[in-house]
Amino acid sequence: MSVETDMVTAVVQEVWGSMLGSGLDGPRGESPRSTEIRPLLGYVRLCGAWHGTVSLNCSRELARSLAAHMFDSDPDSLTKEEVHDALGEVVNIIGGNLKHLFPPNCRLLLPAVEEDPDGGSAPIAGRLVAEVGFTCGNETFQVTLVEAQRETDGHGSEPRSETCNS
Amino acid sequence: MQFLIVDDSKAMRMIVRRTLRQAGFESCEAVEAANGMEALKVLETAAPDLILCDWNMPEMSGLELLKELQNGGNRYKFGFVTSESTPEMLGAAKDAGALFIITKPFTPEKFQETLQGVVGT
Repeated sequence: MSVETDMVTAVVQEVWGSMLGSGLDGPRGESPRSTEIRPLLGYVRLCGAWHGTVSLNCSRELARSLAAHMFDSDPDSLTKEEVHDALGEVVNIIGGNLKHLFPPNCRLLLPAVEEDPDGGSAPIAGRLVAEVGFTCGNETFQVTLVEAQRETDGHGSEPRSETCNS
Repeated sequence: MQFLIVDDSKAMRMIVRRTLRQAGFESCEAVEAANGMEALKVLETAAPDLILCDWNMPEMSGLELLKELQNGGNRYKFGFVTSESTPEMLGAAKDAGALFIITKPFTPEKFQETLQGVVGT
């Protein structure tokens, strides 16, 4: 496994273990670019010296159960906004803890959540840095790290020019 | 004793409240704000013993809030509870007057150990 894959695995297991208090198996040995796309995609963008995203793709059931644990509440009593809030925060924490993989002067933007993503398990196209599948109870989820696509201008590759706005 | 918890995630504000209780601050009161601007409004009527603040928030970030408070001459005890803690952030936080940074994910033990020296129990 790559350093990035090891780091994603360790960070996700730590976040789950310490914040969500539930056992987590992983990685599942999914092949890169798993074709299984789950209906919720939480992600956070990084910009600055490195552009890319950290994303978590999971079922609505897993996101609801994760939110119930965070809110200490009955899963059925939670609103969609609360479920998105919880998933976004988990991705934000994973992204923040993965920042050490990237150069200094790299900034984490605010997290976002998409329903039924049409772009796959990552919100942007680009170089797949790491993709790790996990099992939590009867549910599976996937964490993906993608570096934003580079554009060529005829003089070689340059990082994609993205603003650092949220 | 009163805490002001500033975080744009409602789930995280709940977790911070719960962790405070687990860390031995169960009898303390907590008020909340979802960003720096809201925190300033809360501070018009509240006088917390400690502000526990996220770093990255819409409207006004945690660092902007801290600088605003310092510029206004207010001397609240202030610490960050954030998902990131790079050396640059640690430096910026200390320079602005933050007493500590607690990195998410955290444990009640981490809260206890950090806050005891700041506000006691």
